[in-house]
Amino acid sequence: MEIKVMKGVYDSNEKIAAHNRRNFAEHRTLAVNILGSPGSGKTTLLEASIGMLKEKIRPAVIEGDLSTDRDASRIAAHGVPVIQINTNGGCHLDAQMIAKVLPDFDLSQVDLMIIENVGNLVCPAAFDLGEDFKVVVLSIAEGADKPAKYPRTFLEASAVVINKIDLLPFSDVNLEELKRDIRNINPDIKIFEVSCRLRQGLDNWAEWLVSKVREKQENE
Amino acid sequence: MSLMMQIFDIINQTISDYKVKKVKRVTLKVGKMSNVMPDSLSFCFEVLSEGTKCEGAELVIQETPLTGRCLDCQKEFTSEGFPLACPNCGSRNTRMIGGTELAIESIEAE
Ligand SMILES: [Zn+2]
Repeated sequence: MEIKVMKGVYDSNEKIAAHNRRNFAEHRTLAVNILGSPGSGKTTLLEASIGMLKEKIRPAVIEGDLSTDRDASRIAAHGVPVIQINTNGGCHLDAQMIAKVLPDFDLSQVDLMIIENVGNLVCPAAFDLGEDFKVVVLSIAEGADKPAKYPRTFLEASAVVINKIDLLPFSDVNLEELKRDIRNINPDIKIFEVSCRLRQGLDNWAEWLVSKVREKQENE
Repeated sequence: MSLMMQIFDIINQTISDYKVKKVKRVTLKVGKMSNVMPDSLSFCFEVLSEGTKCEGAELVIQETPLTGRCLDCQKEFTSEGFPLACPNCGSRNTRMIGGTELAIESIEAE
């Protein structure tokens, strides 16, 4: 017998993601899902911008990690609420993992929920967590082929943070070509050029996040 | 691997509804832009099907193309890659409408 199934593998995830999205909307909390390869500098970017964010809004962080809680303690040192999700080797966060930890936050006291996904550009793009938008962190040290290799990831993101631009003189990455490749996939994407080490470009990035928070607060 | 576990969840749920004895074929629809490698899907399927009603079943992967819609002339089209340019009017004012799906299309069973 032939059974027509016609079921998307992500269907059940999307149901739970919608539930998370309603939860964020109710509290007018902006949720951002941050993706990036290991070593792209996601946690460093958060650490470097959290001070600026804290001056204007109330951020909180969910750290997705394969095993350790090192990243979470780095963020907690900055005095913001942070919860670590250990995926036990799983290569991405899913909506259910987020739904489980949300009750541990007081969302009425959170303007911006930053969700740092597991370091990987492949699977996380496919799993909606209920976020308002995705951001990809891409470091100059990774080379220029990431957009071509993982188009979906760039397609689904609202912004890319090109990190470690201080390494440009020592790399064969052509920044303009890299930006063109990204825009070929996603013409509407916002691109930030940042060096956490030299603290360059961080204010633009932080201000943009704050403006997105304000937008959501006004619209909900 | 966790993706394939989700696929098996759907398979198991479906075959328990139909009182299936043995699964002979599973057909997946995999978008060209789904980030999923067909080879690794096949490998995971083989490993996870061991000792289940799916053991020895054939995994058929139907790749679905990257498709876009032109916002200027409203034509739908397929494309090999990005940028998505409309083959009808040449516009780049386009949106992707398909190519990232990952779905279980059908199960052949006895
Ligand atoms: Zn057209």
